[in-house]
Amino acid sequence: MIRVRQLTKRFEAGSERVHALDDVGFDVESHQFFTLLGPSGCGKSTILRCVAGLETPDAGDIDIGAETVFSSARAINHPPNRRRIGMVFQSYAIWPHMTVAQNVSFPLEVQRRSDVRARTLAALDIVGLGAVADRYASRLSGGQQQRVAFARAIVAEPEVLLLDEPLSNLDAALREQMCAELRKLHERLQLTTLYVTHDQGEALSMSDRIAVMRDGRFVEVATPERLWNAPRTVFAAQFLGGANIFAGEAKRIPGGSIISTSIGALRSTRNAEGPVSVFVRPENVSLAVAGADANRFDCAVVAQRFHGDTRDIELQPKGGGQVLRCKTHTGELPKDRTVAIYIDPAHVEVLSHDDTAADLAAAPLVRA
Amino acid sequence: MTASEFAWPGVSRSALRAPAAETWLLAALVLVVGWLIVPPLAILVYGGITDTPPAVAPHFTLDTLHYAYARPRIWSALWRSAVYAASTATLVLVIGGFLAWLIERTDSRLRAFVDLFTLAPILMPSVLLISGWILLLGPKSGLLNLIARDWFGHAAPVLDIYSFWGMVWVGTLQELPLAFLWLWPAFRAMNPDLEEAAHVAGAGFFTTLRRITLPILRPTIVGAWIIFFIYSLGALSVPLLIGLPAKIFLYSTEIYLAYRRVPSDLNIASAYSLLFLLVTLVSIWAYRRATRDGSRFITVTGKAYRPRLIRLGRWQLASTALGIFLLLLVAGLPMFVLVWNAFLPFPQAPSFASMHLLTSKNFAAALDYEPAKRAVANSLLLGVSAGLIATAVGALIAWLSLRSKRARGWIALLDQLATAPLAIPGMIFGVGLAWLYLVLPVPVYGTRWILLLAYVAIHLPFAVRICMSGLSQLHPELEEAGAVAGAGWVTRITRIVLQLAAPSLVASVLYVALRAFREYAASIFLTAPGTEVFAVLVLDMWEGGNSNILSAYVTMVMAVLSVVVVVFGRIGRRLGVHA
Repeated sequence: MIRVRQLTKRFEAGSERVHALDDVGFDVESHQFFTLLGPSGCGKSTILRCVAGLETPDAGDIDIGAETVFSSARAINHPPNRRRIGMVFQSYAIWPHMTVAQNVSFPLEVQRRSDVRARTLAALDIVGLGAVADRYASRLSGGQQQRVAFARAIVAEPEVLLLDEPLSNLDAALREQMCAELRKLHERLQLTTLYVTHDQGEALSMSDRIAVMRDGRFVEVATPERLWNAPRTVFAAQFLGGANIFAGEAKRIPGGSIISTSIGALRSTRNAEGPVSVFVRPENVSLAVAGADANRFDCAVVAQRFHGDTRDIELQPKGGGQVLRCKTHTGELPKDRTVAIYIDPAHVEVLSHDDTAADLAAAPLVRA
Repeated sequence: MTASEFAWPGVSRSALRAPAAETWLLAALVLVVGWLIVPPLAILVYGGITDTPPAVAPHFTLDTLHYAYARPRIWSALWRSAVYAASTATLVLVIGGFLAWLIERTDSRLRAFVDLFTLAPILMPSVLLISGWILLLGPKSGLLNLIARDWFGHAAPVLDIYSFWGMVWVGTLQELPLAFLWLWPAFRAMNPDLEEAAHVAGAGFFTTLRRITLPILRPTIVGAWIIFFIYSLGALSVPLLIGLPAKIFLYSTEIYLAYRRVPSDLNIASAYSLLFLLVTLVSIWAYRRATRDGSRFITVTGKAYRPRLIRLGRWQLASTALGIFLLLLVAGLPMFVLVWNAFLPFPQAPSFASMHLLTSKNFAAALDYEPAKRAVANSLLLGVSAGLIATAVGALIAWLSLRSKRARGWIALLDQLATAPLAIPGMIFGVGLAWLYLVLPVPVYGTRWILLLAYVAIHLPFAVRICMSGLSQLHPELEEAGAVAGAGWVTRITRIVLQLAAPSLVASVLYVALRAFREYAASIFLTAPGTEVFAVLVLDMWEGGNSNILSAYVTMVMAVLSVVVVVFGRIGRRLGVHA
């Protein structure tokens, strides 16, 4: 279990003091896989390093398990070697002058545990590296080093496991595979895990809960499904999946509401009233559906990108207004071709928390 | 020379070290390094404005300075020194730069020579190189002149080493390997894309060289020129071994003569040293100015591909020949002549007749000479001690520079202090230390301790740089992983940091030891009977006379050095990373 309260940290940036973390608090329940997700520089790694004791916060409290490891008010600050944590570093930090087995047994040795050999082999078996135990770690591939780092992190049965963008140095195919493996290992070992990533795919596929971060603050904390289907904030909606966001004025109608937006009247099955932001996932913007009367717009094709399984199309509504993103399986569309699109009112979601118009402008519109 | 600034992205103030311990360490280092560097230089001012010898109640006067600089010969010596240093610096950079370019940018096979070229100055300390060239080009008994006479019938000597250009020739050969090693990394680090982009844009070879390559390398080249200018200005072995017999006096010779005069005039020597120090400070300022905009020229991309190489074609053979020729000049020929003379009773051109003269008597005579044996023992002991101490201090300084986030101003000061001796001529340290410990009531003058102080101070910059480059390659996460695993700082240092950095630390000890072994410019002011060191003894033996016994002596020393280098090389390879 990890409990973080009012965590604050500032950095000197020239003469200015910049908030790296601004009053952050959260709980990670026992056995939970908790992910900090956000763009680079949002402070997610700083939180992880504060929990590990590798950085000292300016203020706040951190509990790991039943023990308080940091408290600015009570002047407690345990060094990392007293925190009973396991950590996988972004660079893996595999000691190149030691063998695989020596790397993995190091935590057991320095913590003076018993059964060093048996536990080391058990940890190596878990990651499937029993066969290379006596090889020097610097001769392993990236994926193998990753596994050694993981084995070293879990070997001493830590209270919590900290993972700092562990997959970012792997190529795409390997990353996919390790993602699946990490989730399986988590289900098997049931370690309380704090995971840091900027990759929405990793976050969605592995986590029990995700905290979306921005500029040193939590924007939204929720389960992956909830975060995808019903985010409360513009930032979360755009950071995950790059949704189309419309600001408008909502009016109640039977069976939902109707929102006047820049592209015209948009019907939603959700109930809303007054100024709102609504969003539509690109995959829910469909092409050429006959017979629909509402939520139907004629658009010109502005640009398209082919992704193999899908095609991203940017569309300019004929009636004016903002450009729409659409993700479909259609064949190639010539530029400037006019197409009709349809948005199912069931997929027009209302954001319950409007994080201001300025945010809308500042947020990255398209995220790869 | 600029500190390699390493900031790992995303890694900020680490909480791994206890602040109190770090502050104490920093304070101790500033005091130790400050004491090593500042007082020996500061006391020169004291010497220059008094006319009383050390340890006597001082009489302050400006007469010393006036007398010193009123003599016209000092200004002509200064002018000669400047021409000597400028010629040498220019020549080594042109040749060294050409070599570096050939190796990095063409398909020449010179790369195979790099190791030998690096090894040459280690096995051939400058006093040996100079000795070798005197034995090759001396007017009466130089081997090449003897060959010209006996084989080709030239009565007059073809080339005379005892001339100004003879001095420039040997000075150039002496610094050439260093200049190459200085420039090579710059060529390596330069992104070949920049040049290829110029070719693609339509520029030919010479246009690219003039508009792209040279401007990008300009800070490096200008910086290197200044450094080698200062080196040549402060060199003492060429002016003493060649200049003195030829009656060509350089500025450094004048300082030496003022000191050697009976009675020794340390006041005049100090007064001369002050001007030298001033020139050095101006040069350091110029160096910093020249390399200040280094960040504008960040050229390292970290791409691991070899650039497109220029095909030399039929010039291939010429480049290989050039490599062999230069190796012969900087090591092969002098080494050969030393070994050849070691086995002869008197200098002699090789012939069938001379084969019957070969003898081992010179070796016996050298081994009988007590100071010769003592000098090697002293030099080895002092070299290894200085290597260990300088590496310990250097590693700590490097460590603080790379990892500590506190008191950056003090750390920068410490770094500047520790690297300052790089540009300060050794002889100035020699004069200053002699003064200082004649004044201070500590029994250090005339012992080996004063030599140790000098060697540590002079070689500290090298230790700092080598340790810095070693430690900067250790990602901080390697250490943090140890902390997370539960290891305290002692365990982290001993089991992770020291083991991974071991090859650099061993390299630093070896490098400092070898440099200290060949040091003469400071030593010559600090040795006493019983504390002879190798390089100074060679200078003495030249004055004493028998060049064949001298040859036998240095041949044995070269053999010892080779063994030392091989043994340390083995140790270095065993340690550290198993790649």
